[in-house]
Amino acid sequence: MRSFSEQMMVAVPGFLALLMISLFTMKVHWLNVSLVPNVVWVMSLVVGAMFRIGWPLWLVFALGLMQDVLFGTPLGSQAVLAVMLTELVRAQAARQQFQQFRVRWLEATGALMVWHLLLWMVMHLVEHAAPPLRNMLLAGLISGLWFPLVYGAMRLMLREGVRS
Amino acid sequence: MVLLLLVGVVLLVLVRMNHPIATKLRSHLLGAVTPVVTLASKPVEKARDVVNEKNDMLHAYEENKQLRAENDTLRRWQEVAQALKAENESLRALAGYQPIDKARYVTARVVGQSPDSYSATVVLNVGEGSGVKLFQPVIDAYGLMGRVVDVAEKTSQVELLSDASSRVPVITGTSRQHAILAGTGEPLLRMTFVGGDPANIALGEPVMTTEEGDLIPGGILIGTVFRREGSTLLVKPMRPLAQTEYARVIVTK
Repeated sequence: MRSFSEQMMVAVPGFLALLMISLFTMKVHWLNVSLVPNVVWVMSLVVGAMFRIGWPLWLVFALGLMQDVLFGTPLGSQAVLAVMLTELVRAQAARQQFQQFRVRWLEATGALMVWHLLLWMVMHLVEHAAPPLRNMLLAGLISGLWFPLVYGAMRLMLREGVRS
Repeated sequence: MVLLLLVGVVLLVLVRMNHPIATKLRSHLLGAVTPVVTLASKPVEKARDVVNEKNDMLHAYEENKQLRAENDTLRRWQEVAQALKAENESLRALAGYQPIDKARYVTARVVGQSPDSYSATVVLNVGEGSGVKLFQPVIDAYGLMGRVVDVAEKTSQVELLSDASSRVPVITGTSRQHAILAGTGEPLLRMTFVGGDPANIALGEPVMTTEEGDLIPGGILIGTVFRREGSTLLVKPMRPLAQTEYARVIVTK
């Protein structure tokens, strides 16, 4: 029988999908940028990879496709970027284990900024039209501000899992 | 991993080529995701309704005063409109004008919207089953919102005018200048390829659709000329486009 921790790890992608979908209906904007970033799921992937949660890559890809459909980005763009980001963070997980939280936060914010930049480039390349770069980078920054919350939630969840 | 990346890149190439496979796949995925979106949006909508109701109660007095004033203005305009209608009908009769087929509308609820800065889209709860097809125009109470860019059986995705890839042929109300209205990814829209001298277009002029391109019926209001930045004119939609809760798809012209 699976432990609570293992069950949580399996359930997390499901929660993420639901959260993502719920956020899809929200209208909380500031300076034309959503304050609830649609990359909450990507952040969760980053944090999950930091905590060495072994989500299958096909699931990451499928969630990315879902994001593409819901948010009107070119089909495959967020899926490809999500797979690349997950693999990158997983490769760095061992090194990050001994880092201070603020360094992890900085690195995650950097990764999210690069994510937004790459997405902007793919949109330009595929659709010949993309939103202003300024907005994308601002969205990346706001995503970075959400990182501690997602990180804390994931840590709490895993700690509870270990206790049980 | 390599296989997934390969699949992703192939998908992107298909999207770039506007291949029907990519469109169909997107429609299927949209159809699969929307029931879940509708279900998940229920609690959010409920909470929003409660907040709206509370706000309505708080502002009822002021709103009533404002509505009375608006009503007076509208009554005056109604008289003007009736006179103009009669004049228009007699002129049409004189010119032997053949009217365009009457439009048929499908009313829909906005079940989701892209809340980010990547794209400006909304998802409607009507699709092919209700007669909705690709590129059909979508309006709300204030005018044109955008066009259908994806259709599933029971849902469709609308690209709003503010999306960076949106382009719509328009005409200005007073100076009758033709132009293409382009989305910028921001609330204001940009007038490009202006037919005449942009200097002739006054600030505050209404901007509406034209029949050019044969995709959107003419005369649908979009917004007003809001600002001039050098030779570029910026148009402000009648209301923030993504704030609509109900919309109508024009299924026939």
